[in-house]
Amino acid sequence: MYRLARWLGERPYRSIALNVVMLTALLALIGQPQLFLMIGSIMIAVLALAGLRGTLARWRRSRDASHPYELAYLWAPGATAIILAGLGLWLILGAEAGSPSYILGTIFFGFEAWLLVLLGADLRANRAEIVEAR
Amino acid sequence: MDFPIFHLDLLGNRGLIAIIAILHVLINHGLAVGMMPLVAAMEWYGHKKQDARWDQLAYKILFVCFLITTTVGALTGVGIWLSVSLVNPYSIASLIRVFFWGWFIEWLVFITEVVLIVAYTLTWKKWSTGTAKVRHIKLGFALGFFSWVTMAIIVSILGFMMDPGNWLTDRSLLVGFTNPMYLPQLAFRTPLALMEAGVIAMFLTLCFTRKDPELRTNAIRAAGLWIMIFAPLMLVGGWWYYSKVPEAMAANLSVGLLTLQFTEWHDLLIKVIVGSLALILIVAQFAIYRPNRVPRWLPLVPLAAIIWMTGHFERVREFVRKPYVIGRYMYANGIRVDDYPLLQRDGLLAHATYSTPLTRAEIGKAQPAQIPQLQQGKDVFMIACSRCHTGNGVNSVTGQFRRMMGDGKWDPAAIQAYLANMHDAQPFMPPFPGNQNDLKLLGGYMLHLQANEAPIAGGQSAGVTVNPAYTAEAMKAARSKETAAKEITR
Repeated sequence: MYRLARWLGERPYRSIALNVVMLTALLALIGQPQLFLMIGSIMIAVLALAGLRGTLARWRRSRDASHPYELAYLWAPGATAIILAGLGLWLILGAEAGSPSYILGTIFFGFEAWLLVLLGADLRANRAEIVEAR
Repeated sequence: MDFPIFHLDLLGNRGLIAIIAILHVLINHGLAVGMMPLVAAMEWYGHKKQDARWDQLAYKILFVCFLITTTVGALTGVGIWLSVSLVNPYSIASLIRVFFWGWFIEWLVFITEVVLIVAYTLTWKKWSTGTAKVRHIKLGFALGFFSWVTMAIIVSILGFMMDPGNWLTDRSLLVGFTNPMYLPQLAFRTPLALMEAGVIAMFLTLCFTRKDPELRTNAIRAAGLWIMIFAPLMLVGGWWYYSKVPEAMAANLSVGLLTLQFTEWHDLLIKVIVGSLALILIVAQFAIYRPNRVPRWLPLVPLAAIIWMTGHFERVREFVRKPYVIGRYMYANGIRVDDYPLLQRDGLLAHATYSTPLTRAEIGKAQPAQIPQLQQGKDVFMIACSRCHTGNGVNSVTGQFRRMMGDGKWDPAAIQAYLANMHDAQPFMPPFPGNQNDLKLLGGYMLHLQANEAPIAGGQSAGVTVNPAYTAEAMKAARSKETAAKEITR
């Protein structure tokens, strides 16, 4: 327990990521696709907003971000994560609890939500480099 | 029926073509069409950043591609021609007639591509600074363009085979080239090739940058981003293709109904595309977010997904074509739709130039009196069935009948009845091309195959004999008879 607490404390985003994964697991266990859709959408919207804020700040600060490669690097990962999380929710919504599509959708959703937490953390810590060392 | 018949009875003729063609497609798409623009982009990026490490990495990746494309890629490219010409010379002959100039242009483009890849690889170290480097980068993008053009031309021919569209009424090259399946297939294959190249580049980067973690991080991220950009385009292209397939299928099937098997495959296709794409995107995302944690085996997962997806895509493409090899023009057995009435009236053997002799193993325990009938039965099988089926190997006729009639002794009347009506029962099978006598001979031969599992020998091993009606003497006699008849008429 002490080790876990220490591991979580080393990087602040780890606690958020753990919460996101636990909430996803809880929603999956409840087994109500409509509830999953509602709470899952809110979760993704909050994470997306946090990421968007960081991305916009990074975009404004970076002169190089006007190049297509840098622009793609700045925007594509977050957008893809949101779309795939949406795909996960779509799979969950169209399936019965416990079915392969439901489980697959849950895994997709959880993974993408976790990636959005990482993206937000990277942007906050200024570690999401747009280009390699200039 | 003017050529001796090549036949592989274990693997099957289709298997031979499939192995060579799928290997070629994977090399062509992943290491040429998709990879050349990626390598040129890496070289350009290194030049822009004045970072020689990018340049070296791009060269190493190019060298691997150069070796594979100019050896296995080139051999399988020629191998497709060889195997298809052996198995179904009639379809190739028809396609050459339609696409003569298209193929001629493709040949010129291909030669240009070969010259460019040799020049691009060999001048890499010489043209390394200033304007020479800029010229070299342009050479790389030109190579990428020409690689794509070769694919763009061949895809038209593949689309034409699925659905020739209006070509059946207006037989011009332009109408054949712009067939209904062309653009959807090209829109699917182009991003697929670029994505496959990104996955292979990621794997090669992990192999070549062990001593430079910083370059590895940046290059893995770049490869991940490359994949991520082309994945949605592939989904759009895949959807377009997916939506066009039923139209082509409905046009090809005379009954106008989609078979259950096709419906299952069609449903599976979209699941395969979406599932594989999601898997590929997850790996690409991981590579972008945590490039330093990507293990060397990880890119092999999306690569396997791409190979699976490509294989499935090719299989659906093959299925849509059935019962034709060229939609509504030539059946999968290599017989033109227009030739059917003649063959069904006179029988197949009356128009077969060659016969493929039975080997001793094929004769087995058959009585000498039975041999002439068996020989004719084998010839009917070789003409009507052997392009797709084997005797006892992959996709065997005996296997099909065993499923329908069990392991007991088969009823020849039931076999004949099935063969006569198989197109109505299974619309992806061509109608039987011969007459009642051919059916009887084929039915008897099927019974023989049930008892004798010896491989059916093709013309390449058993040799051929010339049909007595087509020997030089017979032809000469027929011609003089014809001349005499004309003289009398005059």
